[in-house]
Amino acid sequence: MTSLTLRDIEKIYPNGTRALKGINLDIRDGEFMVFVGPSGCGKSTLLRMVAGLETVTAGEMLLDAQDLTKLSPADRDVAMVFQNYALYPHMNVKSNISYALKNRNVPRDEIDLRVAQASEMLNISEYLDRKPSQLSGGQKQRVAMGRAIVRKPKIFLFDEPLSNLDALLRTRMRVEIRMLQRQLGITSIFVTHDQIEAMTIGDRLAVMNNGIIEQVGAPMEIYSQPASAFVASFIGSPSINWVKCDMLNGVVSLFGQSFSGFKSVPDGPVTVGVRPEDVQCTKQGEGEITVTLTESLGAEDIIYGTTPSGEEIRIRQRVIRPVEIGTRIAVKFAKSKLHIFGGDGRRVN
Amino acid sequence: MKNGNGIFGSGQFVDHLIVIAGIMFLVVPLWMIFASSTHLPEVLIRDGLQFFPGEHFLDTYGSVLTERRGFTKEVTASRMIMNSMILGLGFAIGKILVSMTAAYAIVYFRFPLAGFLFWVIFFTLLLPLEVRIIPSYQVAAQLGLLNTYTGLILPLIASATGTFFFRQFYRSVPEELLEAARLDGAGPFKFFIDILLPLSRTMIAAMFIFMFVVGWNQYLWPLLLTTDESFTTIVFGISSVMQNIDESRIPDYHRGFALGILALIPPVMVVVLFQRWFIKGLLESEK
Repeated sequence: MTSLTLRDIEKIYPNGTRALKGINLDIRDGEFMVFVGPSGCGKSTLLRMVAGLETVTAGEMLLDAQDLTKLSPADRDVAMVFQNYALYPHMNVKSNISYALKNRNVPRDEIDLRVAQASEMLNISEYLDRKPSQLSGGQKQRVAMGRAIVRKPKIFLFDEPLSNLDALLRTRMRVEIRMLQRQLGITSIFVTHDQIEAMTIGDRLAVMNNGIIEQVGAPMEIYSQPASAFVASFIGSPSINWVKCDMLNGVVSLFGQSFSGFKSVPDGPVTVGVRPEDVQCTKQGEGEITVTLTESLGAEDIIYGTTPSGEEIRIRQRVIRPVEIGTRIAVKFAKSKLHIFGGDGRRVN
Repeated sequence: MKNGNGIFGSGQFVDHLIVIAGIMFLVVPLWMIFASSTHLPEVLIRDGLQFFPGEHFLDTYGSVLTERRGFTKEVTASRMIMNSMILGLGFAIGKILVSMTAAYAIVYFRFPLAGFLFWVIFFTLLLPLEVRIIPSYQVAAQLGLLNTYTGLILPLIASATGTFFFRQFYRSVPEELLEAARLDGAGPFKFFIDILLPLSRTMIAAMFIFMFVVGWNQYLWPLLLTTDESFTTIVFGISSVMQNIDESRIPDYHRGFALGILALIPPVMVVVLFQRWFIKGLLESEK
């Protein structure tokens, strides 16, 4: 059983920058947790603090009730896969993988056995004698993972490991990492700025922004019930549509459609978000939205339009009938698909 | 260059001419010294430097290498070459060791005034040996290092140039390697030996070339620090042969030339050997 508990984690750099502002998170045994957020949100810092590569300014970090903050990186029983792989260039693949075991005085037979197992699992058995410079990006990635696997750590840490790969390989490695993690059942933390990667790979996501965790939850939970305007706009592609309007007596109206029953929401200006696939295009030829661009993705179309007030609106729908640029369309939405956020960006409905 | 006109292609012809002229410029004087060293001094005095080899190669070089010379009649050229070798190797190895470890401390450890200390070391580049030779001599003398190999090597072993180059190199090593090594359980010493040292191979080879030649060519410091002729270096030996006019006979020019040629061989060997290693490392290493 491995669980990681983060309590009120703070990170203040010597120059005064407050990179993390009170992080609370429980990572369960065997869980694949993803830290996702824009660059500079503190996700990598948090991961590096778990690894012991950054000091913790304040707060508690418990791995199975053991306080991590006082342990050196080597004693924490965590393994990390770096963005640029960080393979030792002068060592061959086998030495790269076994280096950590050698340093821990694991017997030679045991090392050979574990290296053989890991390299077979990752399909790199035939490259064991090669130097990293003779490997392709995907192979280097596997070696980096092999180096983590052989240690049989309590936690795997992945620091944007796929960002140096081309798009095709990235998708494949994503699946492989996911399957490997399932197979090994080792608790993992994966850092990425790519929301699609985050959605597809994680059991749960922690969406971070400006040094705080905005929301923690399963990918679909985060997608369908975003807790803040930031989460709503960060997750989802094409991104969510925003309409500014006023709430009055629990009634809000947009594009001629009125929605009532938001009794708990106080009166005042609100921001309503609707996902592009939740916008239904009703009438063609008349309506408030002017179509400016259409993109055909094969199975579905993305329609870009402008509202009378000049806001851009994105509609994603199955191809029914091609929409001409310049035509006017009307839209409607279901009440259950509205995400309403107050002035502070928090969800109110 | 690639238009297939061969050696007489308009551009290539001029290129080759320049290259050949450059090589001649460097090699011809060396060749003349070698050719002249195989003649007797009388011929050299009468006819000047010789372009074709004479008949005295074996006896000149044989006697230079084995004959005891100097005031005390105790040093042979082989002894001088050995002394120079000790000096060259001592300089090269010592300077590399000291500057590698100094740079390691400066780059990888956060200690107070690290930056300041680096610039202090760097500043000593502005103070060559000649400027501080008297105090250096005094320190060496008080430590009882006169007429010792230690005295010849130790006081000059700290190298600002070396420290600077290693520092620049270490700074170019990706930080992730250090972090990966830390997670892999390598402490500072292990990281240095297992990761940094092998990565520095090319840098060490380059430094070895420079420092060996610097050590080999030392003149002023051995001249000052040693009075015992058994410490004479080959560079110093050449001058002592050439100045040999106090015996009111023709200076042994041929011997001087022969010593010059002998003095040239080890540094050239070092450059040739390490150059290969150096280039191989450059091609292989990928950080």
